[in-house]
Parts: sequence; structure tokens; C-alpha cells
Amino acid sequence: MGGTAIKHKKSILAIIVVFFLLLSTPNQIISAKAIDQEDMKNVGDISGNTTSSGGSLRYFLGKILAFIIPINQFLAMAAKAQPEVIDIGYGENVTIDVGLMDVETGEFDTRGVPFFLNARSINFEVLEYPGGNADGSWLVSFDPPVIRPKNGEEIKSQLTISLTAPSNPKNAIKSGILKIKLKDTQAYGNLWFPPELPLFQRLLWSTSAIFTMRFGKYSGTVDTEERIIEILVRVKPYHTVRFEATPLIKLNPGEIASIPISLQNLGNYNDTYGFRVVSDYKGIKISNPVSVTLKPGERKDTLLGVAVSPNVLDMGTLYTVRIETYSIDQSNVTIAQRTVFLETRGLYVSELGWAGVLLFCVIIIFAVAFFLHRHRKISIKFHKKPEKPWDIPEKKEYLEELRKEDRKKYNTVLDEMRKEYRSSILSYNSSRKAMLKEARKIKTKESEKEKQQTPDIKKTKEIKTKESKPELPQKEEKRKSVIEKSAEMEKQRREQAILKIKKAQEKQRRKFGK
Amino acid sequence: MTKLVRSAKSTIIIAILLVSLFAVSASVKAGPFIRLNSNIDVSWGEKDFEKPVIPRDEVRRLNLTVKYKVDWGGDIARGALDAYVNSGKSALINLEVTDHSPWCSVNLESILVPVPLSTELKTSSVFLNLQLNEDAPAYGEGYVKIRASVGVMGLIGGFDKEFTLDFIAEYLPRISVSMPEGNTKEVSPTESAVFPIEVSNMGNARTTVFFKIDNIPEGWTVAVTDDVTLDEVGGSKEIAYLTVSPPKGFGYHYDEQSIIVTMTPARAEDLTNQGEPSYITVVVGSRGFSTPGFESVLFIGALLAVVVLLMMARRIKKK
Repeated sequence: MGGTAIKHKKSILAIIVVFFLLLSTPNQIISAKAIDQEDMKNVGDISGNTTSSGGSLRYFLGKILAFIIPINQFLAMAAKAQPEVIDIGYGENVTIDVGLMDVETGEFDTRGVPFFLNARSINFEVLEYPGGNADGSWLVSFDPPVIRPKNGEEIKSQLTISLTAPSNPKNAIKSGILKIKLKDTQAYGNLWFPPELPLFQRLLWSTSAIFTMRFGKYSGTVDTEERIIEILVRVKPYHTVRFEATPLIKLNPGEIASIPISLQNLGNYNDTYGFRVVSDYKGIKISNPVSVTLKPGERKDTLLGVAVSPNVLDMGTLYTVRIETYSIDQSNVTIAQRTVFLETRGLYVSELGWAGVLLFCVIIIFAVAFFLHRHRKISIKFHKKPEKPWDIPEKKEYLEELRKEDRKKYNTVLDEMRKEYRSSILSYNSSRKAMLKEARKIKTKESEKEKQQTPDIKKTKEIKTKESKPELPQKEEKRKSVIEKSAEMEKQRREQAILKIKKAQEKQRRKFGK
Repeated sequence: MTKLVRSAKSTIIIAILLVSLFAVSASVKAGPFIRLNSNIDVSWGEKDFEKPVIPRDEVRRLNLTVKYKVDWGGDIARGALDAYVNSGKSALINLEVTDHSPWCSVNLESILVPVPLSTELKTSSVFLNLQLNEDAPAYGEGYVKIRASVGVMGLIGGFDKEFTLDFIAEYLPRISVSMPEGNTKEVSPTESAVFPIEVSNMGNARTTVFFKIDNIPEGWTVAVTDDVTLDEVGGSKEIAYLTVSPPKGFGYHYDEQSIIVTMTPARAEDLTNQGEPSYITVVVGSRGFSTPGFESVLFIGALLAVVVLLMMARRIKKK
């Protein structure tokens, strides 16, 4: 028995060594759990400890274990975009590369189809647009749209992104994330025992395929891996504004008015607009419209202040005023402009003018009143209007008697009286006109004389002083002669009238006498 | 007997190896079996966030430093780690933005960061891009949560941790001004023109708007509300008043003046943080007579004088 034990001494020793090695594993577990795994700050750059007894054996065993359980990253995949941040504006295109990334180098993958795959294809689709794509503002295309990877060629596609202004300005496009889905379709070959590998590696592969990783079951299947690529798209601020058409604006001279000008933000962000007025007219004073802030698509009025100069009479002047708009973010860039047409027409009378007109009217009224008053006075003084004969008391009595006695005779007498009155009125009017004419002539002569006497003031003064005394009697004489003439005429008229009356009375007497 | 012992020996060895193999495989999935654990730390430069991020216009490119190391203990672990290091493998660290403030857009340069396996601490870097919407609240704290994880790699255990990155948004001053009663007025020289100015906040913080008038015309008196403070809520309104009094000298007036009001928004909490000014221009016309104010007394006096004169004239006539 003892001899048998000596014979198998080597085998027993090997078993004991393996037993001890296995015994050390609980220590590994305990030591690993004792360390706070997540607190990197408590651990130095190099962490770990080794034991002295049997260290080299365990170290060797570790290497063997690492060999048996390798790090398997052949299914590790990632997608990338280059660049991953883009700037784009309305009406612009940007081209970038999207594809699969080599996880080791960080560059685009060039490994094509790995030995464990029979076939592979990669295609792309847009998963999410920044701010949505309801208006079709985003246009994304891939070149090529589907990739059939080949060894040595980068697995990537050129992505072209176009952005156009949305049809509805309210749906403004703003910055955000463009998400692209990359579909990697893989047809697996023989994963149990791949013939491409050398025999030893094939054995290890098979061990993993069967026991450890257990991926052998995927042999002959088609799998689709999806990867999301996120691209940060910064949509550049688009400063633009639309002016509403403004009709011809009519203003009166001296008017001050606020003219509303409607505008709409066609940009993609909240924007504040300032204005510059280009006008070199002196007849109107124009103030810059009020700064206005608008949300995308918002419409609002701003006010252009206009003060028209007070031309007394404006037959119609056309002014063209150009309004330039800028965003306060870029005050030196004019983003839109609009010409406003203004027409000034009308009559302007200021308050002072109205007061003048009123004063003028009052003066005119006073002058007319004075003239009438004076005229009436003269006429009363020099020409008494003939009285109606039938209103003279004596004649009235006579007529009364006649009416009672003889009706016929009464009528004839009354007719005579009327005729007589009419003729006297006519002569009165003619004489009055003649009088007025004469008076005017005298006045004009006097004024002419005065004008002739003005050349030398001193002389005229001397002449006036000298001739003032003799001139007065002349004037008085003239006036007297005029008065006398008119008195004579009046007398004559009266005499004629009396003669006529007498004649009529005689006729009547004769008739009565018969 | 020898045959029996030999077969027993080989069976035991294979059995032990197989048991250890499966035991390792099972323990790796459940947790670390050998002390080989991944450890990740993500950090960023504090200087990168010293300045607040400007909403809308800025894309802040932030360099994230990804630190990776393997914690190991014991000879087996060291032996295995050395084997992995010698194979030239890298730890593939997954980075994922799990959450962020709703008013910002974030992406990473790469979601997979390879860090070479080493017995020492290794670092790698990746860029994080951050862009803020224009409604980002000024000086309000924003956040980005990044999950860093690495799966099990052979005997090396996995790791998963979330990091939170904080930042602040810059003040974006923006005000909207309207004049409900127009920007022109005509008054008599004795009156004053009052213009209400309606100011709305379209910025991202409580805003104080300062009003200032430059070049007041000679002889005119112009006064405006010094300042108004608008709440942060978008579109909150306040009304300021501009009062313009024309010259009041005796006589007839025909004056016209343009007055420019400058409005400068500033963050209410820090009035030195000011934005671009906005302007309004008003036109005021002053037309009419300006009387000294006691003209009614003069008129009554003149009327009395006329009456007295008329009475005197009558008396003289009677005499």
C-alpha cells in the first residue's frame, strides 16, 4: 500500500496544488467586495495588492483565466457624425458625414463585413427634426442612402441638410437636435464553428459560442442593430420683416399725424426692429417709427410721426419717405425697406390767421355801416323824399269829400295824384344820382390835387400853410354852389308839381262848372 | 489501481477547471468574482462654466474628461489584468445624456469613448455641446445628466454611474414697446402732451427698463418715468408716461419738436447687466395763443372801461 502511495506522489501533489489554488478564490471575492467600487477619489492611480505566498502561481492562473475568458468586443458598435454640431440658416445646405465608428480608433469603421457575417447592409433615416417638419422646411438626403460595407472602405454616408423658410412664419425653425437612425442589418454565418479562424482560435470561439457567451444560437439568423446619431443643429437667427403695403396718405398743411405701418416678423426668433427714415424734404418733419419687438410670425403696427409744415395753400405735394428696418442684433444691416407716399393738400389758416380774417370782416362791416349811415344822412339833408299827395292832410280831406260826393271824380283825382307822385319819385332818384356823381367827382379831384402836391414835403407844407387860408373859401364856395344848385332844382320840381296840381284843379273846376 | 488513480486525477482536474470556468462566468454576470472592477469618473473644467451660456446664439463646447481605471486585488486579478492589458484592448465607455433642462439641447461628440486598459488611471476626452433656447431663464440653474457606463469585459466587472453637470444661462434682454395713443400730439401752449408708453418683457429674466431723454429742446419741459420693472413671466407689461410741455411764453405759438426717448433694459437683480437700447420718437406740436393767465380779469376791466366811456359820451351829448 505504501509503495502505491509513493508511486502516485506526483498526482497527489498536483491535486493538492489545485486544491490550494481554488481555496484562494474566496479571498479574492472577499477582497473585491471590501472595496468601495464607485469612489475613485479614495483609490490611487494604481490600485491593488498582491500576496507573497504562492503569488506567481495565482498570477499565472489569472493569465490563464484571462486567456480562457477573453474580452469580447466584436459586437461593440457605435455610430457617429462628423461634425456633430452644425450651423445652418434659411436657404442654406450643410453636408456632413454619418456612419459607423471604429470603437478602438474613434474614426469611421473600415472593417467592412466581419468573418462571422455572411452579409451586411446599413441604411439611414431621420428620426426627429429640430422643431418638427410640418411645413417641410427640412430636406435631408443621404448619399448613398444604403451602404453595402466593403473591407477597407469607410462605412459612412454623406448627409446633406437643407433648410428653407416655413410657409407659415409662425412655425419658425429653431435650434435643436436632429436625430438619425442608423440601421445595421447583419446576416450571421456559422457562429458555432467558423471555418475562417485557425483551429486553436476556432476551439476557443466554439467554447465561448457554446459555454460562456453562448452566441452560437444566432448562426444563420438576420439581426438589425439600431444606432441613434444626434446632431446639434444651430439654426442661425434669420432677421427679416415684411411690411404691409400702405396706401397714399393724405395730409393737410399744418397737420401732425401718427401713420400706422404694419409689419410681420418672418424670422425664426423674437426680434426687435429699429427704423431709419430716409427723407430730405424740408416741408415735412418725420420722426423715426417706434422700435417694435415681434415673435416669429407676429404682426404689429408701428407708428411713423409726421408733421406737415403750415403752407397757406398747398395744391398737392407728393412726398416719398423711405423707411429702412434693421434688427437691433445687427444694427448696421438693413433687412427691409418700404417707401411710404404722403400727399399734402389743402388750405391752412392758423389761429392767428383766423383772428386776422375776423378782424378784416369786422372792419368791412363797420365801413359799410358807416358808408350807409353817411349816405342816408346826406340824402336826408339834401333830398327829402317826395311825400305821397294823398297822405297830405289837406288833400286827404279833399279826397274824402270827393269820395262821398262823386266817386268817379274821386278815382280820377286819385289816379292823377298817383301819376304825379310817380313822376316826382323818378325826378327825385335822378337828382340824387346826379348829386352823388358830383360829390364823387369833387372827391377824386381833391385826391388828385393832394397827390400832385406830395413831391416835396417841405414845399407842400409851405404851400399848405400859405394856401390853406385861400383854399378854404374855394371849397366852401363849391359846396355852396352844389347846395344852391340842388336847392334850385328842388324848387323847380316843387314849382312844376304845384303847377301840375293847379292845372289839374282847374280842369276839375271846369268840369264842375259845366 | 494506477489506471484508476490516473483517471480519477484527470477527472478531478477537468471537473475543477470546468467548475471554476462556469463559476467565473456566472459570477461575472452577477457581480465581481475576482477583484477586477471598472471605475469611471467624468469631470469638466470649472472654467468652462465660469461664464453663463448665452441663449440662442452660443453653442458651448465642453470638454469632458473621462477617467477610467481598473481596481484589482490579488495575484489572479493582476495576472488577468496584465493579460488583458497586453492584448491591447480598450474599455469602451458608454456616455448617454439621460436628462437635461427642457430649454436646452445637448449632444455628445461620441457616445462611446475608448480608454486603453491599463493598470494605471487612464483618461480620455469627449466634447459635450450645449445650446440654450431663448427662453432659458437667466441665471437659473440648468443641468445635464450624463450616464457613464461600461459593460463587463472578460473578468473585469462593469460600472454605471450618473453625473450631473450644472450651468447657468446668460441674461437675454428684450423688450417690446408700444404707444397706444400714438407718437404724435398737438396741444396748445398752455397744455402738456402725455404719452403712455407700454413696455412688455420678452427677455428671460426680471427686467428693469430705464428711460432717458437726450437733447431736450430749449424752452421745452420733458419728463419721463425713471424706470419700470417687468416680471420674468413672458409678456408682463408696465406703463411709463412721457410728459412734454411746450414753451409758454406770451403770444402766438407754432412750435414743433421731436423728442427721442432711450429705453435700456437691465437685469433687475444686476442693473449693470444691460442690453441694447430701444428708441421711441414722439412729435409734439404746440399751436395757439399763450396768455398770461389773468386775461379774463383784463377782459372784464376793458368791458367796464367801454361802458364808462359810453356813459360819459351820453352825458356830454345831453349837456
